[in-house]
Amino acid sequence: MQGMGLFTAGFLSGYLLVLLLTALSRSLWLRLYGPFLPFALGAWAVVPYAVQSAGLLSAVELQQPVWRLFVFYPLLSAVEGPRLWLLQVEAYVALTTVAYLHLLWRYVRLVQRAPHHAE
Amino acid sequence: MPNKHFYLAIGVANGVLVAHLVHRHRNWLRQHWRWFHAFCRRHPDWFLWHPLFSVPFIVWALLPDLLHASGLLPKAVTRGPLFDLFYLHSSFERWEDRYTVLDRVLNATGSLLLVAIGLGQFVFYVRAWHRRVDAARRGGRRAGRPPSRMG
Repeated sequence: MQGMGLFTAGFLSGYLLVLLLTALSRSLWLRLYGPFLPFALGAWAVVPYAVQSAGLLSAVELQQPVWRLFVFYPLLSAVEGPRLWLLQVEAYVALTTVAYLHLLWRYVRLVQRAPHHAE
Repeated sequence: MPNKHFYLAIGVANGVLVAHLVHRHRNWLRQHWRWFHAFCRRHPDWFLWHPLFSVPFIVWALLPDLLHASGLLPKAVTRGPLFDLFYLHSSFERWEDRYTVLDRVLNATGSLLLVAIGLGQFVFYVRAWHRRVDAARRGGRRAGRPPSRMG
C-alpha cells in the first residue's frame, strides 16, 4: 500500500473506533470531537511512508523496532491495496468515502439538535 | 496516470467552492430567484447539507475513468480532446506521461486537498454546533439558529 492506502486504513480503523466509543458512551464531547480521530489515525499511519517518500529514510531503515509504533506501516506497506472488481476504483478510497459521509451525517444531526444540548 | 482520488479531489473542491458562493450570495439569490427564496424558507438548514453540492462535480470528474473502467469506452477514446471537458482529463493524462514527477505531485496534491477539505468540513460543523448552542443559551428571537452564517 502507498500513502493514500495507508491513510485510509488508519482512517477506517479510527472510524470503527469512533462508532464503538460512541456506542459505549453518550458523551457529547466524544460525539463532537470523536470524528477527528479517524484523521489522526490516518495521519499516524502515513508518517513512515511520508518519511520514506521524502527520502529521509530507506525502507530498510523503516524496519527498525521504533517504527513498529506506526502499526499500520509494518503491517500493510507490502500489501497490495484491495480493489473493487467491477469498476476498478480503489476500494479503500470508496469505503473511506462512505465512512466519511456517515460521519458528516452524524454531524448534521448533532448540529440540528444543538439547541437541545444548550438546556 | 493520476490516481482516481486526484480527480475526486478536483470534484469535491469544485462542489465546495460552488456551495460557498451560493451561500455567500444567498441574499441576492433569494431576492432574484423566487424558488430559491421558497427553498430557503422551507429548508432553513439547507447549508448543513452543503457537501451534497459536490456529488455532481465528483461524477463529472470521475466520468472518464468510470466509462473506461466499466468497458464502455476504450482508453484511447477517454484520452481524446473531447474529454478535456472533464476537468482537463486528457491533458492531465498526457502531461503525466511526459513528466513523471508531475504524477507524484498531482497525486500528493489531490490527497492533501481531500484531507484539508474533509477536516475543514468537520471544523465547520463543530463551529456551527457551538454557534447554535451559544445562540440558544442567549435566547432571543431566533434562538437555536445562528443569525447570519447558516443560511
